[in-house]
Amino acid sequence: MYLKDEVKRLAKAYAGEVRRFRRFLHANPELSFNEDQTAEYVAEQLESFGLEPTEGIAETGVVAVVEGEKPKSKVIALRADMDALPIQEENNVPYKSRNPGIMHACGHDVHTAILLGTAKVLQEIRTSFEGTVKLIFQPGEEVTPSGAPIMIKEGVLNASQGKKVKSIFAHHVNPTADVGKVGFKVGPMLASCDDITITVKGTGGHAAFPNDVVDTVLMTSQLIVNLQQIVSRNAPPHIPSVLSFGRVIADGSSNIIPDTALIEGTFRTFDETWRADAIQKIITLAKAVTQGMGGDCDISITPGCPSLHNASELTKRSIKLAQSFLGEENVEILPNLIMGSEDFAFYSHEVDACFWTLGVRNEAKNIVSNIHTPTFDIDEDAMEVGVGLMTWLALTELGVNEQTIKDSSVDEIWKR
Amino acid sequence: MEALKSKVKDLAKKYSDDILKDRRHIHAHPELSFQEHETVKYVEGRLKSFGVELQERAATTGLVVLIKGKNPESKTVALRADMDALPIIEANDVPYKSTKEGVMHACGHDVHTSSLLGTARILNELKEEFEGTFKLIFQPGEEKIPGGASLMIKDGVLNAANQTQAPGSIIGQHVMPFLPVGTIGFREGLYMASADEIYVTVTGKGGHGAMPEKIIDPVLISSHIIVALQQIISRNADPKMPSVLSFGTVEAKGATNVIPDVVKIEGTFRTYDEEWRAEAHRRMKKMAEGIAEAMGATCNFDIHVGYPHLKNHPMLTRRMRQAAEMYMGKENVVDLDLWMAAEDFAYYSQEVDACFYRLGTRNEAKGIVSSVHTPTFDIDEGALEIGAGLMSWLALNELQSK
Repeated sequence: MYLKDEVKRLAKAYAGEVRRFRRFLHANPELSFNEDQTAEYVAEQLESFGLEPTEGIAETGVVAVVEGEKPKSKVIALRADMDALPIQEENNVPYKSRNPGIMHACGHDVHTAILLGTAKVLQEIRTSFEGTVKLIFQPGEEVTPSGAPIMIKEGVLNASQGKKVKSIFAHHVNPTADVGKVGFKVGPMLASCDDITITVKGTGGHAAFPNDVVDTVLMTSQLIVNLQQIVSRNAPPHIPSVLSFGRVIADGSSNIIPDTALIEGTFRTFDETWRADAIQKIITLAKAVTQGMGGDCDISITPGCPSLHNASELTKRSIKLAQSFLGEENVEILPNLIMGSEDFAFYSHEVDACFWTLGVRNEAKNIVSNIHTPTFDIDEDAMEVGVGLMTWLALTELGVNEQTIKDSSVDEIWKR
Repeated sequence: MEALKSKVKDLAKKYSDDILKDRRHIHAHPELSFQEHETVKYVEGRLKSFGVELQERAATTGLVVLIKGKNPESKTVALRADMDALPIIEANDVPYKSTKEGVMHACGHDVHTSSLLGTARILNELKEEFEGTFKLIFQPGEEKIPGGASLMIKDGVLNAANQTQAPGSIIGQHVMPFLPVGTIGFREGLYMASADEIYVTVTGKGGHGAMPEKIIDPVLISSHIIVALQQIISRNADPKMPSVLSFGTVEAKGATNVIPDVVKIEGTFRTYDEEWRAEAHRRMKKMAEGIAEAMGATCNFDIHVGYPHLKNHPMLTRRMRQAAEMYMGKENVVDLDLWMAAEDFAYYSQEVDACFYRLGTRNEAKGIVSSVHTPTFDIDEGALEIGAGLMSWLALNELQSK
């Protein structure tokens, strides 16, 4: 039997078990960095597969390794995130969240269940590949500061079996793509994301006496207008950049100018050098505009995720392997950059990374809700696809044992 | 005149305790604009007890009172007080504290009303000493658009009636917590501003902050409008014409990464010329709507037209100032600056010769320093005797002037 078919067979065989994992996790969601029960559950499953998980990394993270033949030859990593969101679930399903106000509305239950399934399959066929697969179950993807940089700081990418992690893989559910489809993008994929909070400080007072007032409302308006030039005049035109302000609160009245006004916004782009430069420019301009008008501002920019870059060669290889595994018609090359962000980006700045999207939509079953909504759900058939593809990409990246490889397409594609 | 002045002063002193009681009663029983039912009944009763019978209701809770001297058809001078209180919770710990939670005489209208009651009593006792008629106007709703003054005028308060002339002039006073008690302030010509409230709604198309191409950003458009409207003052207003355009509320209730559909802006426009005021309204509306349209949004620019500007008739005010100097001593009468706040006495000033002066009520030694419209506003009640006496004296002077 071809190894590819064996992977497919196992993914199918364990689909019921993976569904149970997912439903348990979905029914018992936990917020970022509080994934205690989730971590315990993950560790228990890993142990039941015969693995030896390490818990308590980055508070609630779990790491385990699956060793193939010649485990020291190469190490790659697979990553899942485990945290849920502060959303009240509105789905009426048997596995509905039992924790009021908390919901797996971003599919991290799916990512975790799939990685458990992948671990089980890899462990079962460990004699078929060479090297080591590191399984990273990460906490706190949804918050800033998030789980990935803490995991990295605690050494998750460092030497294991005497080898540094060479490359890392992960995927994310995508409710805009049909179940069975996956999407890849070579190079930059998701934006960096920094939250901006500006408190404009002036001197409030009666609106009829402008000379006694340092007008926070006018400073705020000038600032928002002025900051447009960060994108229009300062950003290198070839680097996509967005600066948006969604919240402005000047809480005076028709005839009272307040002492302070609040502005909140987001800055997103795809280049770390420009990102750092832009943040400095935003601070300088905000200070200059407000101070020039007789006021001042407190500006805090909370650095979020960097931009996510899919390593070119690795991703191109993965696309071909995915095409051979799922059929060309089921692998989409994503045409556009996505201005959203994801903390897997932190890994992508350390080692070669490949991040793809996993279709979970099923219009016939009315599974269409977007992530981060109270009615988000998935077509669970997606998980068999997820386990199969992730296992396949891991195996082929590591190097398949010559004795077992019977698939010539892999042989061709898999050339270092 | 010296003899008459002494009589006025004596009567003011004689009735000062009663005026104080009236003030405290009204202060303890405040009523909001256009709801001054008990207040006006109290005023009616007090006037009756002084023997002042010629009373007529106007604007529902307003009262017009005639005090006729000799030859009552010869000339009429109007005196005005306002009676309404504010929706403020009084924080003063005084025996006459508001008995109505959330309603307070925080703008001194209790002082104006009780003073005018005292003036009515004094003038009524001096009936034989003057020729002509005093028309006393106790008006409702100074604090609320459209302003009680405009309703009183609609009801004919400035017309000839009951065998009396239409008033040729009108006098009003207002407490001033910046002026020490015993001090009076005057200003000839332009004094208080017109005030219009502006409510702007900019409607764009909200969405995720990371997808600017899919949204029409009302936050940015609102900012452009606020910045562009500065030129109404800097480029369109006659530089000699004081004008203020201020925005105090901006409400964009999205999030760091969510652009809202709608942004609300609230502001005020104040100036001193009715023609320019109307033109400024047109320009602001056109500019805001034009900017919004050009940027793909819509803008609802709603102007709640408030009171006109208040102008003190120069000759009348000069006469009143001289009379006040005689009554108070020259050193106790001061000049006032332009005041960008608004007052509905302005409506009378657009119709007849008007003089609106300020009654000092401050006493730092007693800690009486709070501004009007604050929960701790109070007055040095020594101002009441002056309020009643001086207005009587000014009224008598005006009636006798040619």
